Amino acid sequence: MPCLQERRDGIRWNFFTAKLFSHSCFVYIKFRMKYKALLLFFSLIFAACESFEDSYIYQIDETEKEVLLTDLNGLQFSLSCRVRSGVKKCGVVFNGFVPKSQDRNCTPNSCTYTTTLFGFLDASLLTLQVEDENTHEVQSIIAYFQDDSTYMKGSVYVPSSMNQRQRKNVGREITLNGYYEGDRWINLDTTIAIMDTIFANDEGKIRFNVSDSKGNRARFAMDLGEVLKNYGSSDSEICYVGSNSYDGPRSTVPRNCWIVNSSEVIVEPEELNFEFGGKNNFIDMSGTSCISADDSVPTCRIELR
Amino acid sequence: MANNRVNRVAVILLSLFLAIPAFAENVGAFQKFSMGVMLGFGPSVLTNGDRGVYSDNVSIGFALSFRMAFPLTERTSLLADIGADGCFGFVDKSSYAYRRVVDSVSTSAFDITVMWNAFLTENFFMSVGPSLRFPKIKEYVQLDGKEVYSGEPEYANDLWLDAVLGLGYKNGAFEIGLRIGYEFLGMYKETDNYFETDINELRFRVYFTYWFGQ
Repeated sequence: MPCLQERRDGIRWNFFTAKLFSHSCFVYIKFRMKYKALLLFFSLIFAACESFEDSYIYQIDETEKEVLLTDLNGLQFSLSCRVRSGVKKCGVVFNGFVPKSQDRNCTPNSCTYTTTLFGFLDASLLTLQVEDENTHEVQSIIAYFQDDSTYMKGSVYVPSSMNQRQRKNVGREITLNGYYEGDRWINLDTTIAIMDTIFANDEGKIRFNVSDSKGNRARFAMDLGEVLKNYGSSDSEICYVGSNSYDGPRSTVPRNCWIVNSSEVIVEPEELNFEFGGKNNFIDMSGTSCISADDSVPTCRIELR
Repeated sequence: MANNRVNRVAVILLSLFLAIPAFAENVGAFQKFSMGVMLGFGPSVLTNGDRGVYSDNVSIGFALSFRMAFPLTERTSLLADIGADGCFGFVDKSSYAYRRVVDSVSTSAFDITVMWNAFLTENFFMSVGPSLRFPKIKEYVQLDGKEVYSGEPEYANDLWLDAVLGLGYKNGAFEIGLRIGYEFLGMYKETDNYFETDINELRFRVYFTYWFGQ
């Protein structure tokens, strides 16, 4: 008996639904005829508002053994300044490698950006050295990493959840259990304090070179004297700089910046004694658009840390 | 495959749970010193507070114990369990320098549990008490599918303390129930290199016990 009752309810409900549906269709058709233009207008608005997401693909091309400057497309440095107790200091920091390739493939609705990065999971970077020519101090290039350290052969840093989120001395040092000397792997624990900066001298001049074990060398020089003279702690503005993500667009984080005129940063020609991967600049000042090749951007950003 | 196995065990435990009351004849409460063995199975949940360390914070766990019962009164007794409890794995997926990181943590612990047990009816009982646990935590980290670390992390706590509540049905030699434990000392500890995490384990174990000589 309960089953029969349920069945009757079901039939009644279906009949009611069909009636409601047919009535709705009738009203809709009538409305559509009357307000055809209005409907067309709203449908166009909705179509225009439809969002299409771009996709970002990052691929890593692993390098092996000892990395030489000739293997790379370029090194990225950015400007960095700090003001502590009224004392201003400016310098450059190394923040990665120019990607191996960057492609954009677009349809009318969305774009796919594919970036191929150099990977060092099976390689050692320890033989890439940076010499501050003002102080003649020589350090591994890894010492100047500012963000995530490139994961490389011999690294004992484990990017576990706890290391990424709960570590007290975040990213201050990286330990490698060896490095390549030519094709030979040398087992030698090496700890490098990172987040160093190559500071300008009192006159605002920076000179440094990057070299490898084969004698390849790239020299770079710049003058930040005008920046040091013209800007102070009260001139800082909030700007946004990129941070890494493997499956999306580069997200941004707020930082304090000086926005300076490009003429206030003087870049002297660099010296290269080797052939490199065909890019415009072996040393790329990322985040400092004021020194682009055609000087078309009137201002540049100097990040304060 | 693993899910099928989990389902099969759940069906067996549920069947036992339904079947045992059907043969109810004896009074459940312990009348003499008794010994038994326990097998348990169920989920564990990591309660992270406001710091989510593991994105997949639920894992299937198991329990295995040798049990002793010391009668106190006609309906109450003191239970002492010595055994092991573990979880197959909590997982976190993240990225590091454009690489995919999978961090998984499995736990196992040697347990000593002491509970006060009271029969509320002839066969249904409730137990409460502390559980002292000596954990071993194993962590595995994969970078782009390649294992770069496996071992016991320095932030693993040396001692866990659970508050345990048990509810169940006992008839003669057979007992089936649900045990809920909340660990409040923390899965991890603060060290020189790591901050406090406030991760605690909330575990649910459906269990079956066979008592000898009932």
